[in-house]
Amino acid sequence: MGAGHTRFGVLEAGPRALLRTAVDGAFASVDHGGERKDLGEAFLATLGFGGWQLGNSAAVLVEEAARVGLPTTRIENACASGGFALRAGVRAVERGDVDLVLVAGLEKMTDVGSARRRYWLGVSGDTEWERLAGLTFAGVYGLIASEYVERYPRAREALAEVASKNHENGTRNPNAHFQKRVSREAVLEAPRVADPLGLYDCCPVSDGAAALLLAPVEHAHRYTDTPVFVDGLGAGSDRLAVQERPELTRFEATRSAGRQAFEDAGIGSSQVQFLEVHDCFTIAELLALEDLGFAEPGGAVDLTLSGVTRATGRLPVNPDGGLKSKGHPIGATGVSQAYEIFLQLRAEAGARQVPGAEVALAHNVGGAGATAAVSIFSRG
Amino acid sequence: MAIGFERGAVYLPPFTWDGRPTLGPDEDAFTMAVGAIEALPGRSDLPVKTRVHLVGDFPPVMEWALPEYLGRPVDLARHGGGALGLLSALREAASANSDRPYLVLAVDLGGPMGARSAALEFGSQPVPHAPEWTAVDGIEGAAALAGAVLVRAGSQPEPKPVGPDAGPPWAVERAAAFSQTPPVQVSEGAYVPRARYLENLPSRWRLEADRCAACDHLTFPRRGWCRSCGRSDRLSTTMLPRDGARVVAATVLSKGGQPTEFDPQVEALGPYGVVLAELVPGVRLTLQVSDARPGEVRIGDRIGTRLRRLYPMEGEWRYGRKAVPLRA
Repeated sequence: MGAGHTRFGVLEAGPRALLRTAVDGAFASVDHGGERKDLGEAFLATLGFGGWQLGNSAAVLVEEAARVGLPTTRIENACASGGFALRAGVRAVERGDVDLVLVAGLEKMTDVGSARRRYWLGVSGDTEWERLAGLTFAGVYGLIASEYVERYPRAREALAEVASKNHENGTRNPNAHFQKRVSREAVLEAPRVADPLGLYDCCPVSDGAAALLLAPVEHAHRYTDTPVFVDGLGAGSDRLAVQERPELTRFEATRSAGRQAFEDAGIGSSQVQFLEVHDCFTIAELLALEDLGFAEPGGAVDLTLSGVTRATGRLPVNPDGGLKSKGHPIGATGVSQAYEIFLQLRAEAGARQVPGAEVALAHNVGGAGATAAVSIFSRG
Repeated sequence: MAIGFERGAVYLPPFTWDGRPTLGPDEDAFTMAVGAIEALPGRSDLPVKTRVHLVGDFPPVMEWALPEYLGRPVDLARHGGGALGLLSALREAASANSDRPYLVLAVDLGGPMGARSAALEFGSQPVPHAPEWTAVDGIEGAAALAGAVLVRAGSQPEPKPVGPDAGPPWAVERAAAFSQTPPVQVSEGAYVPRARYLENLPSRWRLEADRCAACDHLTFPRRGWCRSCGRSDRLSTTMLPRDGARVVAATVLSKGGQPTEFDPQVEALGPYGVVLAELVPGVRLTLQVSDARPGEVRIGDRIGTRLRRLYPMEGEWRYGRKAVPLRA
């Protein structure tokens, strides 16, 4: 029914202000007016980065939504918190006993120091083995990328294209953390962080929040003439440590979540017109294209290099800039993907509008693939 | 029961400095002793001797770490370093406990001969032609003893340095300072509570896995139940091979890519490699790379694993296995 979004980036605003801005935006976007009294339940997606309010943070959401007293729950699956909160919100709507459900995602990441920040960036991976070997998520995705690049040598260029494309898209998104173009050459020449991944292969550390308002389909037209429908939901999981998985370059959590979502929506991948995928590192976008069935193993390289996934291509991927350029406030990301799809399917995306978009898919990954949520949307 | 020399090995750090073997920045007397134990020829299992004589400058951590590593309680006797220490250890072992098998671990961390360690096992199945223990002189003597006997027993060539002579791939002064870094007290990085670190030691240090007789699946790290069929009643413990793992994926963590615990290491030594290696089919392990230049270990390489210092935490060094290149 409605969706709101703050700017993503290094922001002055604290977590409460971010939540308030996103929730106010969501209510303001409801065409026929959204009444806060209609809210029946609220879900907050957040990791609790920095430890500002680790426990009971969902209570802060209903405070900032001016609906203290509502049932409210924090959903935490690391970077996939938003996708899973959307899922929880849809399930609550399906139960049929509430008129309106609020799903918000939040992360305030830049108000802690560098050492503490890197601690929090590491808390969602396997700590006992990967972390003790000296890996962060950049390192884990670096390992994944190393095997992928070894197998498909042109992948280095495709990784650079992912970064360059998503930065290009970000220049058309006023909410994006980065609004600057980055050439493939600059990506390839940037300092390495976790070889073969360099600085421009990694998403930034951003503050931000996003919010959605969900209602049962039969009440949709009470709120708006152009609702966006959630047609399919899927979610999956995998072993936390990548060393315990038989394959490094495919995420089983994404594959099973994708299969469920397509089955739930009753459509195939050819009917999807654009994607919001979880590109926390450039390699993740290539894996997503393959795991979601848009390319064979290794096929994401050609698909990407051929320009198909650009804003002007046949299958735009991350028209809002993706995590790479828009930013990745952990809990907010999955909700932000749905926000973008909400705008696009209602033809409200302005300069970055995907022409004639009617069906879109959002893909949200927790950590290095331990959890994943996939959702399919259509224009009402 | 006659007790005699059974087997012995010398461990030399892989790099030389100023012409002498020099400790790596993640090595200490404990890891050097383990290096010698793991170089013991003939059998891949660990010594079962319950009496252990320590010769040289061993840290207090040996009191719990050595029994933990060997997987059994041991009775530790300490001796001073060098020739006198070794003689004293052997004399005490031979006279006071003449019918009791024992293990001697000796270490020199520097000095004129450079860094080295030795593991010598004495028991009821001595090798023929073993030299008299009274001829042993210091760690060098131990090295000679081990080397001579090994050569004569024909089981393994004399141990020798495996690294290039060009010097170590790190800045020696900074590495020395790093090795002396007082262990940090508060975590802002890769925090693993001490209890969870201890719980995993059999898998982390000895590469123990559980094989399930019901489905033949190997579970690593050990979890107490079979990861494939879920049964816990048909498990037997096995040690995975320490050497020969194949590198499946390899990355290099540069400044800013490391967890906070590794900040002092990166400051002192620069970027480090991390690999995912397949120990045996179906068992993979994430390992930091040591004894190598960043990027030297590549996908497809065979690596060895060695017990080393990982990082300091809550007042002590934490130890685990690292990957090292297997040099010809």
